[in-house]
Amino acid sequence: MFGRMVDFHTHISDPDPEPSEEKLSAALRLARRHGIARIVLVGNLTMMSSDHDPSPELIASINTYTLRTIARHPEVYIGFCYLNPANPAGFTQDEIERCVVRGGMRGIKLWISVKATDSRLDPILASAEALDIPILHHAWYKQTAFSYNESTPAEIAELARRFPHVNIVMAHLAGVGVRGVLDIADTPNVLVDTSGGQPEAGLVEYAVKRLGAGRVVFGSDWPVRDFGAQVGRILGADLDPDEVASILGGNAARILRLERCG
Amino acid sequence: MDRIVDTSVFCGYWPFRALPLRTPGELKLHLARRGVTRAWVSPAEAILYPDPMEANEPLFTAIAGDDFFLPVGMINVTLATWRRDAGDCLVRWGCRALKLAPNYHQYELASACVDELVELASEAGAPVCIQLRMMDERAHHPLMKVPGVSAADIAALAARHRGARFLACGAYQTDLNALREAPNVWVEISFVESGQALRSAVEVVGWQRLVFGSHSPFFYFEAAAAKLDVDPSDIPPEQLEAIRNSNASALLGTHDDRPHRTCGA
Repeated sequence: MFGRMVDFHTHISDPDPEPSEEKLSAALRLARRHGIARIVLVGNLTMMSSDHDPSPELIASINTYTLRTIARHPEVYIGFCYLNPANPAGFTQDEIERCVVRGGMRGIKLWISVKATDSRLDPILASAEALDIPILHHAWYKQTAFSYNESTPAEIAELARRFPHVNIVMAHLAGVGVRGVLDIADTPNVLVDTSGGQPEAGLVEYAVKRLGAGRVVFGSDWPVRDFGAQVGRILGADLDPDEVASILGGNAARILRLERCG
Repeated sequence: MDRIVDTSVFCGYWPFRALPLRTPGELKLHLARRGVTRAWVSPAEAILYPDPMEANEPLFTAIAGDDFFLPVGMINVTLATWRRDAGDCLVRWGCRALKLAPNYHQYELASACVDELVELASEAGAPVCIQLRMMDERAHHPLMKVPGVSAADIAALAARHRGARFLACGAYQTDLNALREAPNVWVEISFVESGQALRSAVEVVGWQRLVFGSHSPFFYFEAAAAKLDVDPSDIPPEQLEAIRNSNASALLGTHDDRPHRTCGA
């Protein structure tokens, strides 16, 4: 009804560094039930959560898991290269070469290792610009304690102004809220994914009103969240079918340079 | 379209953001179009008004005679008049359940007046709904941070009143473990979420104690409804039907959940 759906933000929870077909099949079954055709995998959550300042060895292990997953199901999975900007710059560039240039990953995932304003992100963003791939960056505004070096949307906007030619997808619309949307309103190279927090009615419409439907992308943050409930946020929003189609797949297809998702 | 009983609905205004669907008519149209045949409704303003009856009464007046809505009176047990308020809700306004918001109204579930209210509700055959939270704590207004109600405290309250029935509203998936061994506590699913939200919830508390709740209009109804869209191999259709509909009747203590008003507006 709305074209091929792309989930821009998923993990997998697996204590095993080798992806099991049972786990992958279970994830695909759940995604397909809710109409999701393509899935961006940004890293094995079990391994990611084990260390907020991951070593090169852990980073490499997480990315190898993603590479093996996209090799098993290239028709569904799209890999993102998870990086820690605090790691040696040489390693990080080698990892981009291994995962993106040679491995076929289509984006870079940055979480909470360092703030988005940290200058150690600069060579990573420069590589993203050269390769024409997007960054998915964690962000949140919290009235509870922040986790490690979590970035705020204002910090994402600052990063985006330094690299205006890189598409940065700020994660967690329902985590950054209205203030977060306003923070990125004037940085057109920042999009927001719809995951995070609870399904607050009206928030997706608000993001579309302030940013335009072309800057909102569907992301579930599965398996922290439920595929169906996350799709429900979009289908429950009072939007035009064209806007819904853009959010559920069109925008992701554009910035990931996928084959036409129609 | 499947018949849905929505056990967690609010109506009215909320000071921290503009809620859609502010009138009972708008809310009914919205929910009915999505398959809801019965909505357990409380006034949103009762969370913060100094006297919740100033919110209960206008809402219950507006929905009087409309069986689509099941009125759930919000009671603040710290007020001197709470016994009269609870009695008015049950008798005058035909409430089939009462609702508490201990964190917003600032009392402990271990307090004696809560025990007294539970006994009063039980004598009337009404379940007690306990609102654990109204919104994600991370997104609260910076000047009003309200911690969630402890699910363990709900379980302890339920253990003291084995003959009473409770509904935990706004529970997270992580709250469910504390309610696993509380056979007289039902759970609505609006805040419950994980990679397989409904199946995980069934695994913890069992399908018999789960009921549908959307937390409308705070949340998109479709987010909760989609949790019911599961493969039959994960949850059999008859269990799904119970969660969607008939478990709410069991929570009310009747197979017929139509109202028995003694007095209208």
